[in-house]
Amino acid sequence: MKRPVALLTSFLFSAVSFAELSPMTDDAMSEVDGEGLGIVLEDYSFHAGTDINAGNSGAVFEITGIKTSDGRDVLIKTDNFFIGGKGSAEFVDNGDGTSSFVVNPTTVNIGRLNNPVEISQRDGDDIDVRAPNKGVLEIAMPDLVAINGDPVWTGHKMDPCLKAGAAECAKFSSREAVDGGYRGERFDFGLDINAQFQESIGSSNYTSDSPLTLYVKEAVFDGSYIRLWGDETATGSESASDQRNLTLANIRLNMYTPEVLIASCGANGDKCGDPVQIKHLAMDLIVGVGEIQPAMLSVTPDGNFQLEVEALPPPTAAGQPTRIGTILSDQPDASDWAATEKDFYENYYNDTIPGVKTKSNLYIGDPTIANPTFETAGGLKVGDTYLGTSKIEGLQIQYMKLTTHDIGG
Amino acid sequence: MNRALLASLSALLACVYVVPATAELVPVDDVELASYSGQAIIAIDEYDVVQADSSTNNFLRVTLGADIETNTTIDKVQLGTYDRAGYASASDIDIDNLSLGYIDPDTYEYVPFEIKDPYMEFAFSDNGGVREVVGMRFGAGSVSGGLTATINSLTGNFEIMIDHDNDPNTAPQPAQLLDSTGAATDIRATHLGIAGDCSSNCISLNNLATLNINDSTAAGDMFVSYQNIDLGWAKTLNDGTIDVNSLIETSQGAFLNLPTGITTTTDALIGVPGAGGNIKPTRYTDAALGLFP
Repeated sequence: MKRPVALLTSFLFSAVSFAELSPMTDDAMSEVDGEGLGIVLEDYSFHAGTDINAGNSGAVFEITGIKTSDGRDVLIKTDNFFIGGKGSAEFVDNGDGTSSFVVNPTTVNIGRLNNPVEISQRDGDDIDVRAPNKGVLEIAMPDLVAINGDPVWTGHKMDPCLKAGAAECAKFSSREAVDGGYRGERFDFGLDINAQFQESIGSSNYTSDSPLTLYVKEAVFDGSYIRLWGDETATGSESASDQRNLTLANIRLNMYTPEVLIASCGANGDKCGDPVQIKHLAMDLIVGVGEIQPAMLSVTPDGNFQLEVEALPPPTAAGQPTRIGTILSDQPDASDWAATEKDFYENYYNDTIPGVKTKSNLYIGDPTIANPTFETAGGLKVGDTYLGTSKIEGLQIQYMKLTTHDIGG
Repeated sequence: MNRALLASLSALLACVYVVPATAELVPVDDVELASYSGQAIIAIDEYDVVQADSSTNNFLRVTLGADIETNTTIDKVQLGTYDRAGYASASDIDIDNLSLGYIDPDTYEYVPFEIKDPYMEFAFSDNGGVREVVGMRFGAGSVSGGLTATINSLTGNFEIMIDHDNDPNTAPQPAQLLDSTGAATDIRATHLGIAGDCSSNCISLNNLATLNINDSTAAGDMFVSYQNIDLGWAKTLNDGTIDVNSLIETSQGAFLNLPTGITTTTDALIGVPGAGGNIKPTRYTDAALGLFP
């Protein structure tokens, strides 16, 4: 009888606690730097299964709710979604002009103990964050590693930054797998995806299989991050009118893969036609630059998503404070500008603001090689036809507002 | 009182004496709830197109329901860089200083380029019962706004009507992409105008004015595509409908379809920098080029 009575008493006389968690101010948060979690996945692989209707293990993802532009339902099925190490999948030649997509994921490490995936609190005053007086939540892939003192992936060309043993620029800390050696930290991923279309509105029949298979080899995302912070408090040089009461963000997506394959296959991944091959795909995409030009995430009153990259502030009336500091001239005429102002715009447009990048780049193949071939430079190959290397270099979003709207029937 | 009864009593008291929570979930009332609906921001379409040679290709398009306004500058665009016999240019498409949108030279405010419903699309062919990808394109349902570019080489379609400079009585006619001799070509072109000897009605693509384009014309959507065969891509009508009977014919390689909706003279297309010119500033540092008054 003693234990029940003790239990009863503990409930009757339990102390009511009024202790509360107090929110930290932005000033207090901004003093925190680098506190967080490092995540390393060792010997990792993931494989989400195959179509049970075809006699396999099941675990197929189905996505519903998508429609065609004329209002018919679309059923998306994905199977063979996998993440694994080098050689996790292959297109096996069937000997009849077709191939079969076969997935057998090997294991991989994602992150290393000395360069893990990180969830951390950053000091907004850091030169590579540039959100003054703000505490910034950062989710980041492993770091880029400095070589010869240059901490930034130059990104202006594929060579020499992305090749093993390169000097004079930063390189990825995630290593390639070595046969018979370490697994490396670069991972394969891919999936089979099939869209099936409702025959007519209201019909229960779905027709017109439209399958695609995607296989990305040894992808590396080092140096990528998403940074989030709030801006409910006016601080520093901001005026009250600068308050946006929104979540602000900076996003950087670095990606390099030696090969991407896209094919259309039959059921169970067999009877694949010639794939589209992309050899050496590299990108370095920037959305938002510190608090100079943050990306803002919000929802409109009618329930649609909105992403805005705030416009670069123009030169304004002399002496008026802006987010980039006090503008001393009211004319966008470099000869009238104070040195700091001139430096700011020139640095922004030349992508030379210390610590941060303002320009994005995308490369398909190595465009620095003269008279390129698929074997020497990589690039795009559709079937047997080589369509060359391609690049979009120095893309700078000075302003963007994307607002989604209802589409599909 | 047995153990079971005591346990039940304890559980009951636990419920009575739980610490009161001051946070609460506030129900959404019917009026507010009624204002929300399922927002489908992606549409997927699959359709067949009968090509000019009577063959049929299947297409799969993924459209993002979005309105985008932007001021974006790109230092260099080079698509389809490979040896192509008979053409001097190294790339199918080679553009320097591409700008979408511009800065009003009087107010210093951005005048954005507008893009509606961007999409990605794959084209397939049936090769003896085997389905193969033969092309892909990236485009938009409609675009409008200022476009500034120094075009070194263009493979594609540049839809613009030329109002003859020296013959105002002649009806406007579609401009053609030309090579440096004035011969019509839609592959790695360097000039624009009316085919001839390039002594008149012929201008270089690397010295164009800022164009205010609006693709609500018969020229179809603005898109970039890659294909390994000559391929017709369906036009998108202004209401978003895909018109499988109205095609933009593309050639093997990289291809840019650039509808403008403009009727003008070739003289007016020639870029004139500086005060009173027709090249709009796209960066605040363009003051150094004299693009602000």
